[in-house]
Amino acid sequence: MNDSTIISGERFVEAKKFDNLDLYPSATTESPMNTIAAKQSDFEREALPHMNALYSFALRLCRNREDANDLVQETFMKGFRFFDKFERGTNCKAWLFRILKNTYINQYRKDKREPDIVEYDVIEEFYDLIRSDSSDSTDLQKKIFDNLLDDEVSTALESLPETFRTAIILCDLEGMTYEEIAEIIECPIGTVRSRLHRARKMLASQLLAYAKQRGYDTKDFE
Amino acid sequence: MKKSSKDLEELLAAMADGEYIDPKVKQELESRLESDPELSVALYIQTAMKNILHHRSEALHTEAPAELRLSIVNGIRAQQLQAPKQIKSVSFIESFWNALDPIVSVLSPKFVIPTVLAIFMAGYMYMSEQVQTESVVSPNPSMLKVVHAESNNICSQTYTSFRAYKNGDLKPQIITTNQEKLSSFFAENGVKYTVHYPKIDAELIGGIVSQEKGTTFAHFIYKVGDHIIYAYEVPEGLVDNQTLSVNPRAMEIVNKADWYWEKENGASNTMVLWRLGPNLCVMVSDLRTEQLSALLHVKET
Repeated sequence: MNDSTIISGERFVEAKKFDNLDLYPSATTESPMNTIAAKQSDFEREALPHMNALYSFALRLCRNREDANDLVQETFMKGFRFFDKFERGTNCKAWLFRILKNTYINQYRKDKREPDIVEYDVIEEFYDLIRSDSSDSTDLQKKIFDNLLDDEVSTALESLPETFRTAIILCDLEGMTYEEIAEIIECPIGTVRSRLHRARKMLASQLLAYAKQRGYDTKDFE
Repeated sequence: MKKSSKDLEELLAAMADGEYIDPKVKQELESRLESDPELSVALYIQTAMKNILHHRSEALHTEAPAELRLSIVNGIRAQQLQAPKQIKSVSFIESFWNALDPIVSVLSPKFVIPTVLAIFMAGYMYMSEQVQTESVVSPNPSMLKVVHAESNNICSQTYTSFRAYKNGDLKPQIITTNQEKLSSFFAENGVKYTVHYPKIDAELIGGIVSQEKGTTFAHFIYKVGDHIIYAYEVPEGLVDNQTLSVNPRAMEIVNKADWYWEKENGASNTMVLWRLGPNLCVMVSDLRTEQLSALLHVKET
């Protein structure tokens, strides 16, 4: 045993009694590496990919970046705190949207009684335009809407009353089903369908107004 | 019964979205679409608006700012580090609100206030009854700790040995950097199980044997610079609360997450417990958690 030394006469079994535990305070779990780490890892994997969608939605609800930042941050903090209650395998995106929407309503919404305004005159005008058109609908859609700027579509979307805006964003921008939307906004599927129907009509009227402002010649259709 | 035009018009949204419509109603709707130009226009509006948004969805999405992303990730990590401290200091009111939060988060706002009031009243009545028979209503924080209290607890034994080694009260019975020689030493001194040794980027210093209820166990020590890593490896089958024991909560965490880590209260020592083949291995070190974890080859279990 050239490279090792046995220390004789000091058998650890004799010296070590393990009976002075009071000298050493008990340890407690504080490490980030146990189940909490697993929870963090799961949460980051499941929830963080939806941050852009949540932020876009928050921005369209709050209409200012500061509140949208706070709202998304609060949504994720709540989501993390209650991630244990999230049923794995179900729709995490819809769950986070629901938290965000309820947090918004409870804490961020400035005007809680926003009236639902529908400019049906403009819609009627739009109906007339389409009715008189002889070309197929794809051509018409191209003629009327293709030249719209993204900003105009965005502004038109933001001009919709909140309940309608929420429905159309969740369906047409986020690609959610009626069932998922119904769960998020807590109403029957029939209401989702009705709101979507009306929201699209309102959006169409707004976009037509922008198209006309941009010099779109409606005479072709009259 | 035939549906009104308004009812049918609303169903056009479902048609544009490819959602379910009752087959009979759908048939009626399709029939009406052929004969009613207004209804056709209404369907066109639904599909056109859907397409416009869908095709521009990328442009209409706003990317979350990098600072927000960073702030959220930091917030999550800060929340998890604070979690045990929060448990110790929550009052009844805080507990009440914390308990309500998930309910409030998912409730429709119009139901929030009545629900909260109802739960609060019920909670208040319950607590009033409790106070009459019990003077202390707050939970005992020590109940939430993982305490390594029993004298045969392998974690507390490793802590104790680590300290004794650091203080010079415990010396290696063999000094060697050779794992095979150390295994021979263990076998010669009564260790009857195979010691597996963790794969770790640290230098082996030597080993010690200890006895518990007539069984001999292996201890070994590593060093990294000025830091010490004290390891204790025992057969899991002997961690039976008779010969040796371990806190069940710690084992539950090992079973779920493979590793149980803790930072010692009042000191910067790190302890880790995990399975090494058929054995359980406990390490205590004066390295920080992230330093020790970086040295261990985690896939070898």
